[in-house]
Amino acid sequence: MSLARRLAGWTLALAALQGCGPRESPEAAHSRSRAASLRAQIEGLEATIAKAERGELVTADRIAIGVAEELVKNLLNASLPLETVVAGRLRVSVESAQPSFRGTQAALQLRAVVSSVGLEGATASLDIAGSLDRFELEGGRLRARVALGYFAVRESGAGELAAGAVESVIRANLASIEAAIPDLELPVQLEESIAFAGLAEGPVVAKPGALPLQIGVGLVLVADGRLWVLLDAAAGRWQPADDPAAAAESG
Amino acid sequence: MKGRTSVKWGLAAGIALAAAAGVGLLWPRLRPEPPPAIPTESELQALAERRDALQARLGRMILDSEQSLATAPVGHVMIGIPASFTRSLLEEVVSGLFHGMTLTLRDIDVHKQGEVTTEVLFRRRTLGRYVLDLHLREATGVLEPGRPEVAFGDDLVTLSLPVRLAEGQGRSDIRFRWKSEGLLSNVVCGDTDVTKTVSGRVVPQDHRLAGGFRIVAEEGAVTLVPEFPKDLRVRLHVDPAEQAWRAVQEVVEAQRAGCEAVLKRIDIEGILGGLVSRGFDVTIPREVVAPVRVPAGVRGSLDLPGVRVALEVKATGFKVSPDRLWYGADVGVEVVRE
Repeated sequence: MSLARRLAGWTLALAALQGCGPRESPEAAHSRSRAASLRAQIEGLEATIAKAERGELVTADRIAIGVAEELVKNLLNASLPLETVVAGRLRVSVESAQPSFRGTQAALQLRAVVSSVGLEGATASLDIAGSLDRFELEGGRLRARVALGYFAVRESGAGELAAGAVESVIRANLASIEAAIPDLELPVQLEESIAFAGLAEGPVVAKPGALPLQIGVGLVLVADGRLWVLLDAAAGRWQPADDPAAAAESG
Repeated sequence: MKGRTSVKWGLAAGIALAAAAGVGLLWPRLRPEPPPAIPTESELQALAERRDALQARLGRMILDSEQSLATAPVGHVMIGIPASFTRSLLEEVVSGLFHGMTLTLRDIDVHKQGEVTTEVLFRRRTLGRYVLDLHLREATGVLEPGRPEVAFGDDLVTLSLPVRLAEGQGRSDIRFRWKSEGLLSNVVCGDTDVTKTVSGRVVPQDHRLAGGFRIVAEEGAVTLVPEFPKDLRVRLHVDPAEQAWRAVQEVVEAQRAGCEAVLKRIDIEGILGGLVSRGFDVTIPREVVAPVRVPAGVRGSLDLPGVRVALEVKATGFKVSPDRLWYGADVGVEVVRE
């Protein structure tokens, strides 16, 4: 390589290195993550309180489903460990999940182990902060997505340089790790209708029919270690089974 | 050669200096934002205290509007069904059951017989005997429920439902038989056997179904089990139409003049009216009101990708409050790998 090219390369490398600081210590990263989480919780609480003060936080006419942190933890951990390969070279194994229902967010702390697909023994451990998001009711099942946010390499068996490389790969592929984590399904069954088979006993004939129910997620709150999902619920009009027009309308 | 080398060095040095100068000039714009200062332990503590204070305030606000929450049965899963929703469920289900319920009576026979006597030379003599049979071919009544009244007790929801027998009609065969007795009567009247088919409408009547639903917490769900002390008895009254009375008159008027006078002594209309005015009882079994499962409960299992989760559900209690019906359950999680 010519001297001029070498000099130019060194110069660009020097310039690039000016933008890269040393990696933060895990303690510093944890403090920063905790502060960010607390600020988000405070912001959420203030917004919810303001909503309540404006009379917009209506709970009375909604079905309240409260689920304890401990049960959500057991359910989240039931399908763990869960492995996924990102960028074709890192195997991410989500090992455990710890929910925290404080503030207004259903926060999650996931622990994962990252290893190289091609290199035996090179591992790093990862802390990923996330939350339960997008609560949906479908087919009588209440589910929530696990959304991932902040993460930090807690320790790396291959040194600082490898930890930085792991961070950049994980950052670029956080969405695919998120997609690999299954939805949390809350263990509640919500019926979409109440059916009656009809009756024909002696001189009495009652037509079969069903009462359609409209139930949807209205509001999600957390309070005192419990996740509360408040469902908008309304009973429709009784639909006789022999009334195809009404049945089509309800269906 | 030496001169060419000097030129190269000079050129390289120039490029390096220019690049460094460029980076130096652009650096203030290009450099990333410096990360915020690492929060100290006391700052974190202050944030956590602020969060907890707001959390407590929100909790108080929710408790103020959800007063029954403080006494609700605690469990891994707590389900609170608004009283307003339970009320509308019961109203709609019970009203739906009774809406358009039909009561149909068929082939009921009513019988009346008697004799016609008269004074002849200070002695009472029998002119003849009559038999009036009413065969109810079919009578149908349709029920219409009113607005139920629902009230919540400790573990019972009471319900009172007005039910109106709103409309209906009936069809009957009336058979009138007359058998003369004695020479005179036989000469004047002879025997008669006439059958007429008549119709009528069911008389609207109001009834009330009273009872309640006991709230039973079973595994994973709350069921409202009907408790109605007795069956609902509805009396079907058929009011014969004008045409029916005319048909009866025709039977009498078809006789010869002397005989007509005899038969007119039988108050066929009155007898017939007496027969049908009692009405016909129809019993609506209390079982018609089926148990209503509250549409929010705890599942017994979950299917996750590659894993089946068996859930052991143990009810921790239920409570009926003026605003909510609360149900609590502890849930044990057992993973069954597939």
